Amino acid sequence: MSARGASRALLADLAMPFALGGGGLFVIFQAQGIATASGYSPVGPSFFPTVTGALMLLIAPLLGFGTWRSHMAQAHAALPSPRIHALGWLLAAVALGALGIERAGFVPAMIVAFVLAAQAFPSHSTTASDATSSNRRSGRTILGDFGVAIVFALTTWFLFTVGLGLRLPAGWLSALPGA
Amino acid sequence: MDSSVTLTALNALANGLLVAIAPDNLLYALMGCLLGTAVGVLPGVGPAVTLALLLPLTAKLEPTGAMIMFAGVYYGAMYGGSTTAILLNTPGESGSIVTSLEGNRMARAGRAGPALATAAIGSFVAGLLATAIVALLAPWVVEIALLFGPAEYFALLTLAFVTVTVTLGKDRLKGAGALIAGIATGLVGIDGQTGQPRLAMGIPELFDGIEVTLVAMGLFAIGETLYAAVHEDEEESILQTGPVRMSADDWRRSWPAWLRGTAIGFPFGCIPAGGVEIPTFLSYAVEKRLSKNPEAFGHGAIEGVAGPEAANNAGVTAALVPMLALGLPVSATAAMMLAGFQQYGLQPGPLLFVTQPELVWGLIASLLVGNIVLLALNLPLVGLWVRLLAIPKRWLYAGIVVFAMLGTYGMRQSAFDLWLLLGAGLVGYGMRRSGWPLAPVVIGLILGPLAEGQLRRALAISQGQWSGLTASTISASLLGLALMIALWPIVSDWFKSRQTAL
Repeated sequence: MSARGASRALLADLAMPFALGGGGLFVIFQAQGIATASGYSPVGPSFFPTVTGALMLLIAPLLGFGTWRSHMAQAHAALPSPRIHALGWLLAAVALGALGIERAGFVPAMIVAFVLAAQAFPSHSTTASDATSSNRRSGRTILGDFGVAIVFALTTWFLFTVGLGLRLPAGWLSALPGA
Repeated sequence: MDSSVTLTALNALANGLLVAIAPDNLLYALMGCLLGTAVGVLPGVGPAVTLALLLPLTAKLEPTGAMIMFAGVYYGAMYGGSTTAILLNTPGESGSIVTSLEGNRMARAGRAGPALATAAIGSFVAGLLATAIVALLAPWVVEIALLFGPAEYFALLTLAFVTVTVTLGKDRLKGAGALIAGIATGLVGIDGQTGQPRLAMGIPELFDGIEVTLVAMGLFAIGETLYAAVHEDEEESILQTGPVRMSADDWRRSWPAWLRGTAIGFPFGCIPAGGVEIPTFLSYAVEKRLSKNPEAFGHGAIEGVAGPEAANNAGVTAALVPMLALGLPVSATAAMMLAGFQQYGLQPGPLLFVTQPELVWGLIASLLVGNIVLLALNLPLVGLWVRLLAIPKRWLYAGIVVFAMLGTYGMRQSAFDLWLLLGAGLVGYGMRRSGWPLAPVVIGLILGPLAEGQLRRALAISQGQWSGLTASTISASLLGLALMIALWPIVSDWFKSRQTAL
């Protein structure tokens, strides 16, 4: 692994200890605002959050140090080259699903979520390698994704609303049975 | 010990069987087994996430039927995981890692059929024996649990925290970090005793707390999907199964391994964080040691599949003893079962055996029924499960994302929960990427609030005296044991470093 790659990997691995430490600070800060209840128990509603936050602050730097030490000893295995753009597709899938589910309805939102999530994964085709074929393949792949997404979303809708009585927003498709 | 407890248990089990074989409950068991196996077969989807994804399916059913279906899903996911391990060399969960070692070798040598058969039959044998032991053991544990007060429960939960930290995952500090993060997440919401909001940042949607299922789906389903999308490249080729049957020699080599695997797996399954990794590896080591052909190990030895699969299933079944009798989940999968109970406002524990005996014994009896159903399903239908593996990865994981969003939204009809799901997914990806264990987060999320409640009750009873936590023999012993387990790795490392220095 190159030095630049190693630094990136170290920073990525240090994200978790930092998140834990940041979480600990947040928990302790929030715990200070909790009023202490009176009664026999010396342990009020702020005790557990304070102790939990303190433990998080205690463990975070130890984990950070351990992570740094293992990187210096090059004890960790290099992961295959990451496809970072895949993170973007999947995050967009869930985010747009969250934004759209109550506006557009369950079915349209999940169709969009399905198609976006599918773009995060490569499609393994084995036909000719020229650009035109590649464009046709990727167009066919997205059309295929849409087709499967529509069937999947509608099947799930019917199974859960009509079959199991679960309430899901119909949105734009208020004419659907189960809406 | 009073033999009338055993007789009462056998009576209760018989009544439970009557509940389990009622036509509608049989249908629920069948549906649960089918769904659990179908989802469990899918690579990257272990039993905990299978239960989380399918929990909303049971929300509209009455409790007994729902828990029977849930038990079917629980078992089915275990069976499904071993199919993936053998055919795809991709264990669906940690208990199938050892299965993939020998099972995939057998499959590559054209013996996938016998591998799948010994896994299915071994799981059946272990599941039957383990369920019988659960039925006999659970009432005894309940008798002991009735002696537990808040101080004893707090001590037991402390022991569970310590063992989860020490045994789950390769790095104890990461295990501790994950557990404490889970405990902190469990504190979000309104405090039960004072009605004050905690850690909610004034957001009304957080006043009800964060659902266990949401966190589980985020960490396991979305997190795994993110990891697979970003880091995994090659699709493993799926091997052909061939006829799923065993020769006379396969039977001769398998049946002792099934029995030994059951004996090894059951004790580990009962204890907090005993898990299935240790007993499956132990079973593999025992079979290799006892085998007349140890050189076959590593090249497709059937005992190397038979023993570990039996140990896995026995351990998973045994985990129901502390879960049902004490309300103490010892694994992420058992934690999801507990979440299933809590969905109905039921709290597993000794009182549930008294207030809802038909539900508890119906559930235990349905495990017997479920084992038979799964054996009948898995041997003839393995070709169908294999076809599921041919689904392109992009559609498979996209479906998991949609299902996770459906399950999350379906709980409270809140789009805010989907944003929490996204956050949990990112955390799950980060943890997976950095080698943090995920199960302690779910265990901390469930047990943290329980521990806090018991601690505050215990101190209220002892009028603020901390010595009240060690006043009884049970609580003092449990806390002492927790201290020993916490210190043991440090002491052991110190001895090892001294020996190295000498």
